[in-house]
Amino acid sequence: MEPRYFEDGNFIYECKSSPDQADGPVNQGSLKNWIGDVKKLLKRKQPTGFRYIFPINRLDSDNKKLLEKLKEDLNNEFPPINVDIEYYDCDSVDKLIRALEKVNSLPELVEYIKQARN
Amino acid sequence: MSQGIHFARLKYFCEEFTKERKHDEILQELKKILKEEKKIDETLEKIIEDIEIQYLTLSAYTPEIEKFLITGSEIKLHPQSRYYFVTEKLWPILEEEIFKSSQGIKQDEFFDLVKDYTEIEGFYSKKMLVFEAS
Repeated sequence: MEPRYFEDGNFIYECKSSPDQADGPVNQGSLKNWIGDVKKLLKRKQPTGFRYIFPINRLDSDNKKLLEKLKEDLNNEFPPINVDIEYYDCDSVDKLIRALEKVNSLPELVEYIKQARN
Repeated sequence: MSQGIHFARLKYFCEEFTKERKHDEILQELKKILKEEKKIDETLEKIIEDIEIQYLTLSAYTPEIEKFLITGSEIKLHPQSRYYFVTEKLWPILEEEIFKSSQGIKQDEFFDLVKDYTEIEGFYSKKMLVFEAS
């Protein structure tokens, strides 16, 4: 079975993609659904950090609006869910890969992202 | 890439209509109607409404479920869409997965899951249950 997400200490990493829109934005409808899943996951697991990775898509302003709203919604929960969220698309994911490789963290995630991009 | 199942309800047919037909007949009718649609995402947005879920998250990668999601899937509403119709064949498989996800969960989560199941089952019985896989 495919992994739903990767965990390293108190950090959760999840990769998502809209393959039919490679290099373009992720499907906004799918993103809405994914964010619903993310909320449930973060409530349940309460990690310190969440890294949302879209290795083959380029987030557009509508996508980013939804992701920023996720941060807001978590702050507005009662009690608020304090989790540091960062997201990476095909333009910025190299930064994440380099950071992970530097400390040899989650090699399986790095491999997974590289494979997805091929 | 991980893929999840996200349940939604069809708002297109009224209960009077679905009551007298089988799940498969509803699916065929729907496919016939949507066949010529060019902007399928926009159309589906008008006739489908997300179901708000409290706890349940289902992976689309269970081998049993995956069989239904292959290219050219019979239960797909439209070739260019990610939405699928829940038929009588698929439902028991989904039920089993929902049950599996209840193993070892906390009490409050369990009650949330029961609420989710009841909601989903209600739409299944009315033959209005669909899902998006992404």
